[in-house]
Amino acid sequence: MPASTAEDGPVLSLDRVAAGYGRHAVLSELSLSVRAGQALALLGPNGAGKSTVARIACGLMRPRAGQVRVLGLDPARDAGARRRIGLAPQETALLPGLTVRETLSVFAAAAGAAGAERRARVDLALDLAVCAERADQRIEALSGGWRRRANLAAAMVGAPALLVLDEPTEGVDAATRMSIAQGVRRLLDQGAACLIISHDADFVHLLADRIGVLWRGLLLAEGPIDDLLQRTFGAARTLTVRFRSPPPDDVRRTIVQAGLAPSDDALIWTLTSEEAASIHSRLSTLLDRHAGEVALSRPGLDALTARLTEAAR
Amino acid sequence: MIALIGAHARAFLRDRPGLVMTLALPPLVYLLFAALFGAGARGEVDLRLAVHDAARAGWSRDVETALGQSFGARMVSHPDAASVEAEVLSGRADVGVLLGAPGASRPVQVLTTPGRALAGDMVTRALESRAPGARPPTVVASRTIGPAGDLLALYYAGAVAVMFLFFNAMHGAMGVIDDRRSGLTARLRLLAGGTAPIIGARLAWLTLLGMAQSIFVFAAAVPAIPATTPGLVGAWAVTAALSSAAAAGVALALIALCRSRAQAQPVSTSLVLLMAALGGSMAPRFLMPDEFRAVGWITPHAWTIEAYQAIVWRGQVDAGVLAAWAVLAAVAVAGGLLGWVVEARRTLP
Repeated sequence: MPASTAEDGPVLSLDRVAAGYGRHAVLSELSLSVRAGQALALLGPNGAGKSTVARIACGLMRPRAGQVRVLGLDPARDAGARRRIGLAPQETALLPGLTVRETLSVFAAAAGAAGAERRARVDLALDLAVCAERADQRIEALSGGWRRRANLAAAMVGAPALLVLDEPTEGVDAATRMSIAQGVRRLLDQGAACLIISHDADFVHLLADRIGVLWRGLLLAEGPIDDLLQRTFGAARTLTVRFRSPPPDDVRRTIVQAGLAPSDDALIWTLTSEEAASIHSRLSTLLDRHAGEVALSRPGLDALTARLTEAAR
Repeated sequence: MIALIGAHARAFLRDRPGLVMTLALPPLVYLLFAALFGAGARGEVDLRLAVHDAARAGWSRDVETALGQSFGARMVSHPDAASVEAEVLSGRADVGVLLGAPGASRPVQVLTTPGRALAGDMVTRALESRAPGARPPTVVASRTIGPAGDLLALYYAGAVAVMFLFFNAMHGAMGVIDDRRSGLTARLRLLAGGTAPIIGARLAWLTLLGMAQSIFVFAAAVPAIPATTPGLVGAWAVTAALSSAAAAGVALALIALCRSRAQAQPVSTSLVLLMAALGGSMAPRFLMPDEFRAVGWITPHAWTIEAYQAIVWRGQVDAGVLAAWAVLAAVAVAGGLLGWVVEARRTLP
């Protein structure tokens, strides 16, 4: 796939970007960049501004301030820059009534490819997204997972230098998640860059080289996953306790005193702390009797996002 | 853009029920309109008559016989005037006819309710023209001019065709909203570098689909087309193409201005019905009051219908037809441009 990128400089860069809708400011002073071969994942709670970053990166929305560049060009003004961006929207934006191959062929033609080049692009996108076996099936006949793969193939068929994935694994199983990550990685290996918007921590772990945590339009932290986890949690561990039904009052009092916090349905209780291991030992008898599952692990991306956004409040 | 038009066409052709509904329904509705309204405007409505012969004279028997020949089983004789009035008031009869009613100023009285005044006029006209020799002896001479063929059937071919163009254009343009929500518009904006090919492809596709619909409607009207007009197929095709493009342009502009289907559906349905009524797709323009006939020119329907009338009925491509083509082309271009500009400036969800 001819995913050529600028020799020097990032494929995507946002420099002190501010954006909003009407009077509502969504992003302020946001700066980030993604280089060829890299994948940057943006994490954060709903309303943090992640999708707005994706729109601005694609040139579908103009920032109020700051500078956006894709291969050194402003994507909001330069059609050539926009053509180098492959977007996989959150909805599977395909062409019902057509087969996967026909859909990709239409998209390749829209991107300016004709004849043998068009066919080659379609075949390569089918291969990268691992959906060649369903190429001649109509879109409406595909299951959710196959639609996700076709959605990814459609993002790749324009030979993008920048791939923007908005929740690319929503509603897919572990095998599909893995195959989507592998397909994107192959494109990155050919020199493309990738911006991922996702709540799927497993997918982000599989694919992203770096993550950024957004909260209310601010980039709270950005860097390699392990670095951020180490910097934020040090030697801390996460204790996760799952109950089959809400715990009895005496158990509840004990785990609250130990510092565990409940989920909305009070079935999952967690604590991320350097004392998590000792608390686990102290409560083991009680938990073994009442809890369905107890786990002690390294803090993950969900915990990272929660910790950073809590600290920012 | 050609690839996008092809995608619209393939999706349409594979939706068999949708294809049949789109192409077969307009001719069926046309046949129904032509049968219903065409006959009515020709004065051949199936009116029901209640008649009482109070005079019991030779002339009144002649009139009753003549009415019986015209209306057949739909004319019922009654023994007195009161029962005729009761029939009319109850709605079982559209019109009552009293022959030699005692104390009346004229020998023949026609009774109708206010809502059926037109029916009364039609029976009065029938009395005048179909009872020659009978008293009252007023006979209206009539003469038919123009080429052979069924003018009203042709009128409704154009009227129904343009009405369905707008219905289908609105429905087709509604896809713009779906594409916006699904992210397809965003994807295509990136691949194609902008919005113009997306709107252009939809305009072109809706125009082609409209032409196909017009062909089907006029195919159903072939028996009514005079023998003099086949040489004007080219002019007919230009009218069909421009009216289809105008419908597509208006639809795309309107839908581009709407954020959601919830906004677009009531607005588009109301607009289509309003334009159809004002433009002459429902009741013939020549039956409209002058003011409404004048207002009708703001709709593409009126221009389309008049152009078809000139080409298919009179066999002419005159200044009126050229003006209609210019107006329809202008509407198509203006609508397409407005749709493009609005859609290009829209921030996608």
